[in-house]
Amino acid sequence: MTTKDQLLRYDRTLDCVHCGLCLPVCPTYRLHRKESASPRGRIYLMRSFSESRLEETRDSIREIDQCLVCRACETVCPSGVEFGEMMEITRDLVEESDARAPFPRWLKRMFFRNVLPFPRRLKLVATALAVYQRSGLPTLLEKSGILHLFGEDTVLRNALMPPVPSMDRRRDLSEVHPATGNPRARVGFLVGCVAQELLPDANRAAVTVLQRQGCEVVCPEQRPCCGALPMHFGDLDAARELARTTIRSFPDAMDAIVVSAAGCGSAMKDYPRLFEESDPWHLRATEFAAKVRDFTEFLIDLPWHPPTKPLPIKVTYDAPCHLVHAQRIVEPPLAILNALPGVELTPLRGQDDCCGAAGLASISSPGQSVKLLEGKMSAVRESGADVLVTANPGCQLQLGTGCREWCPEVEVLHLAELLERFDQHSHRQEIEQSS
Amino acid sequence: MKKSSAAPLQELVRILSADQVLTSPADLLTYDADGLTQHRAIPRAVVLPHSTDQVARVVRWCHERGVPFVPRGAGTGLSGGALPCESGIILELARMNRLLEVNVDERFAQVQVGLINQELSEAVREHGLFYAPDPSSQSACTIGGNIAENSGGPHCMKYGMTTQHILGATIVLPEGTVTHFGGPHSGLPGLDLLGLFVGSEGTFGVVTEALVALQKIPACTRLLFVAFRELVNACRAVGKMVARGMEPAALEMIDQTTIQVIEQSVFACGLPEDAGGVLLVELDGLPTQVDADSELVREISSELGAFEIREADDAAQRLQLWKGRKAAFGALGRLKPDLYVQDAVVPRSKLPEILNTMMQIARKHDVLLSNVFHAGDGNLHPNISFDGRDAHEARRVAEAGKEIMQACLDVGGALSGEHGIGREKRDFMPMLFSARDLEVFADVRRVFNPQGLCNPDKVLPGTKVCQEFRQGIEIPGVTTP
Ligand SMILES: Cc1cc2nc3c(=O)[nH]c(=O)nc-3n(C[C@H](O)[C@H](O)[C@H](O)COP(=O)(O)OP(=O)(O)OC[C@H]3O[C@@H](n4cnc5c(N)ncnc54)[C@H](O)[C@@H]3O)c2cc1C
Ligand code: SF4
Ligand code: SF4
Repeated sequence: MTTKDQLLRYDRTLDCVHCGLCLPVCPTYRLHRKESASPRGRIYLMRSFSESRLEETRDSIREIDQCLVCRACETVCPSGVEFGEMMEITRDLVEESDARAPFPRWLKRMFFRNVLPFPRRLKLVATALAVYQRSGLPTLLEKSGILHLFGEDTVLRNALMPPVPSMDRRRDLSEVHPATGNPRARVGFLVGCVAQELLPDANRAAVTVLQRQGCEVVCPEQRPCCGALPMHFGDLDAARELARTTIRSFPDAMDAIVVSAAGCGSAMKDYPRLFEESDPWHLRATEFAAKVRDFTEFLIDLPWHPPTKPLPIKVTYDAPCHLVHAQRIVEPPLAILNALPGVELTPLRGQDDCCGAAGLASISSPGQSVKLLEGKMSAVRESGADVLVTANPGCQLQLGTGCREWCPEVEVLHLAELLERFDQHSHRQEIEQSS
Repeated sequence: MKKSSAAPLQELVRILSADQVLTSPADLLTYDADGLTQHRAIPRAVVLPHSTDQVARVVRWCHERGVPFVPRGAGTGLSGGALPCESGIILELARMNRLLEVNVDERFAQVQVGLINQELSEAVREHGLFYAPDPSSQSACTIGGNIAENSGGPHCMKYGMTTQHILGATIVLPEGTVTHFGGPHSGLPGLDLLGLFVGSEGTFGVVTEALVALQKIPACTRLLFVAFRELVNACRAVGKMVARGMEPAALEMIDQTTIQVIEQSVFACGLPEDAGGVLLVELDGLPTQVDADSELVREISSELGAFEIREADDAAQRLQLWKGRKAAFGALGRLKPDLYVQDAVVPRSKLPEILNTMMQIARKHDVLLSNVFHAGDGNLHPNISFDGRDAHEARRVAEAGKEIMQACLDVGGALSGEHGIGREKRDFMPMLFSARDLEVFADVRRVFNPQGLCNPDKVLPGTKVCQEFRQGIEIPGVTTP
């Protein structure tokens, strides 16, 4: 838990010179056009909390909660303000304040500390959700008006819930996946927590693609959760615990730890900041973080062998915030897409803007999330693409919801899934030719 | 006049809507300063109108209730122009950001003034047009703020300041009446009230819509950057280029400290970090003219011992260099927590001399000085980096700042090149103007703003409207520093 003293000592808020250049890139500022919904305003609030100039009230922490932590503000800040880190510390601090309603706080903490670290419990939650979804209750509750009693936000949350895939698709990945042909690298792969329950196909595709590119892939049996959610949403103690477990669960002798979830990759690269420099874990976290690679950057550096058999499709790419802003990975996904034979890559207006998923922010402020998603979907429609590619499960779920609602003709895929489709296509053609 | 602190803010909600009136401590606190944080004050409310009519109704309410009000755009101003009045409200125009009309044939656009400067240029680019005044803050600042400050920018060397590009404006006068100045055709009969309004720093009324001139994107644009060991030689080169009859589109100077912080930032653009000073020279026009001018730049620079002269390869690199230059102030934030951005103009020929004097002043007061400026216009931006938590240092900065100002005036300069007087330099005005001059200014202002409720206590020394009302106002949940 962070104390005010710690926050005050942490004088990063002073890096901000109040120039305002970050305002127009901030999605929440563009939506609300008021200072407290902007990066500059939020930094000012954080600073005011630490200086005890402002009391932590429901009102004042709402602006802290509504931040998407998309970190678009960091990408344009000439002063090098490390907004993401500042926000993590502040959220951890205000979590304790009286302004937080006790029940949601308890629920969140319970999820971070008693569910996320245990894949079996998580699977159980997912299964319960699947039963609820298949029972027809969601529509019944909505139509009957019962949900409306809990407010518009609850109705939205119910409507936006992503469908849970079947038990069979959610089955666990085995531990060691051998390389096809001569092994070029031995890598660890983060299967993740929620991603494996809600988007297992993307994980499976990433592993298969890595194998075909000549990598032996190790998915630790413990299936650790990286801790990104508690790290970004106010529970640094839980995040530290999950970080330690994650670091421990990967064998040391790995060439890289590959992550196909931009949000997780960004958190793992940020592990060192979770531990004070005097803590021995700081060094371990630093060494570990140095090995973490996003799936796209890893493929480019490998270097990968692009498929040769063309598959004509019109694709557009939406850059996950935690890839483009947090990890500053801009070119690799585009380079991969451009190397795919037959793919026509059409630009997406506002490619670097947040789609509104933003981890738990889409659950805490569903109204804001939907507005951002609507904007994104109108850009998708303009692009005329058949396939919308992303590189982060959170975004994939959100964009999937968006397309179901507004652009049913557009298919949403993780980049790894698109690559796997090419692999399968080549494979099929080879079989046809040989027979 | 009624005491403003008694005016019920609830009435504002009735005039607008609940979502357009901010009164929570957190909301108010974030408006307590603009780009200049040395002065701070918390307003009683912030209102966010959508239309000219709403602005007029709010202003009328202020007039009737005797409540001071401060117009605000994006709050990037560097002279405290949008500093709130504790007893008053902030009239924030950011939500009035629509581009209303683009007339390609006549080359003008009608905009709501909350539109961001750069968004205007981006929107008209498909027609081969652009909006010329380009303050370094153009990615964030509003057309309204530009009009109020008569803002300049690198390209104003050739194209002129904001005032040359404003054809007409819809203005809500401080009593709440709506009026229109100017129009699409130049040379209208009558007094040029529009000219008077542009640059009045929000003290003559609130501009809500503007008719702005657009320029054709030139056939050829080239950006050269020239690196010198000595900053002074870079200054001499500027003088020579202008003396030889060149008319560059922009002529910007960046000193070593600034180069280094830019290169550390996300806007690194490949400037040589060992240079004492770099000149950015942009040339535009017909290709033959641009060729001839680049030759001249090379010739003059070599004569003065430039050790590197390069051209941007393409539009992308040009953009990158400009982004680097425009990020300079922000990047200086890396050095120390606070930055005092100064703004003064001197005759171009005095540049080498004044730079030396400024260095001496900085050394004397032991402050960290850097320079980045519109050299072509003689518009200096000496910047002092400091830590405001250190009272001693803050005092030294204030003293150095004042001396630098005086030194600029001594060589025939002026108090502000483009950032305005605002709150910051209000009390320096008597350094440049006689008591009689200031009286004339005050008389002119009274014509527009007789009660003095519109952006009080700015620009002209002597008034204390905000303080008079100050007593007895407390905002729960916020501690005033
Ligand atoms: C990094 C940086 C670089 C800068 N570079 C330049 C530069 O190159 N050249 C330059 O000239 N300036 C520069 N500035 C200063 C500043 O950006 C300009 O003065 C700009 O015009 C302010 O616009 P704004 O929308 O932020 O206005 P604000 O800061 O909100 O307001 C500025 C003044 O205008 C008044 N005002 C705002 N809107 C209205 C309105 N609709 N009607 C009446 N009055 C109004 C306010 O009361 C205030 O007095 C820079 C600032 C920063 C932070
Ligand atoms: S761009 Fe950076 S320095 Fe400027 S206001 Fe935003 S966070 Fe602060
Ligand atoms: S992280 Fe994103 S939402 Fe939060 S302040 Fe920065 S730009 Fe805005």
